[in-house]
Amino acid sequence: MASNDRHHPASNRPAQVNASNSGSSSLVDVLETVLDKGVVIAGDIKLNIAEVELLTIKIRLLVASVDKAEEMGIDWWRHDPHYSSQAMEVVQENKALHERIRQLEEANGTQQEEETEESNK
Amino acid sequence: MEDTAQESNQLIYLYAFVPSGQFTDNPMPELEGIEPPEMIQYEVHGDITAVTCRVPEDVYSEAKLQRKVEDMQWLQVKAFHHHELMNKLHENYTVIPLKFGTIFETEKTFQAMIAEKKTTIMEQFQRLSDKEEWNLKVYAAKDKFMNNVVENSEEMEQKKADIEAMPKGRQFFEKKKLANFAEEKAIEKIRDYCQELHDHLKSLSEATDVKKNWERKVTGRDEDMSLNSVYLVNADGKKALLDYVEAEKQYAEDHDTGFYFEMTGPWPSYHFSDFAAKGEEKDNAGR
Repeated sequence: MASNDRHHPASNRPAQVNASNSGSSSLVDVLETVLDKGVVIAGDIKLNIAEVELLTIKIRLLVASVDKAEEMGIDWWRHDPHYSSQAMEVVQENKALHERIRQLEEANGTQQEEETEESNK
Repeated sequence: MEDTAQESNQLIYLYAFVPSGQFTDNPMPELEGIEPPEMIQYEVHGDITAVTCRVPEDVYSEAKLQRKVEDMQWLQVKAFHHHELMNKLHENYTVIPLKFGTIFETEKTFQAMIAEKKTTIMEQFQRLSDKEEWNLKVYAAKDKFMNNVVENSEEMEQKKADIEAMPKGRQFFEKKKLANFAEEKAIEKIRDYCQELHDHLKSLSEATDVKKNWERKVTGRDEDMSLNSVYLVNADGKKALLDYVEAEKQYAEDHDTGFYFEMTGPWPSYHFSDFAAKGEEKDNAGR
């Protein structure tokens, strides 16, 4: 039959046909869809599949090299329990800045009060 | 009753249902199952043909399979096989796709399920006939929208002028507040656009669903995902849907609006085959 010519059982082509695809999300798409969607018919076996988002991140780690993963901002496994070292640095810096501002404002406030007193005289 | 139709060490992996009429008119070639050398089987039950394959119990029993799905490499290959076969079925037939890992231990429980679901399956064939599922993802470069708010809003201009007149120390906090304000406005703008877009596409579709936006560490993109939605369309709807999104995409490119579009499909109707009267919208577009 003619339409059967389209089938190549051994083919390893990417599973998804795309109208306009960046290529990066097809893996996540397929996993999310087949693991999470589709008709739920209660088979005789109950599977507990981890949250798809977590799964896809794990899989991304497998398929991408560590460098590539870090390029995408995935580096939390190094900095557990906080997601990234950079975030911690920002928090520290933020704290320091707030302290500095408080000091400056205090100094400025004192100065202003003195000026006000002076002009009232 | 003892099971006679299969070896005791094999289970039944069920992929999908297709209408028997379509299948007999245009049968599929021989294809390997999820666990070669077992082949895909097409089991005709009246008007319903079940697409299955036999799988070994020592890998697919509940306890064994639970361990297997935690092995990402294994899961990835098998999930792709499942999806790949579904695409092939979808090229030729109306298909009701089942979730990965739908497995029956005996011919008896399998037959009982088909008998029980027969009416629903036939209804779904009717509903899904000649329809496709398309997935749209919209990404937005939030910074671009924030800059736009900062540059093009009178309210912002006034606020900026007010801040310039303040003491230096206070300026820091006020500027921060202003940045938050710009961000809120930008998020609002993005959300409104996505909602409007979705509402329009919904009017072209038979059914829609809005999915969760993925985080950046999943997408690997710099822009935030702002809409992740699926549409069930017939041939006319499909053309209108794709044309509309293409026009939006073109406009966004030409005017550098900060919106990016990604349309994928056609997918088998994974999101719209649910037997529990799904297909109604979960309305959280743009979130």
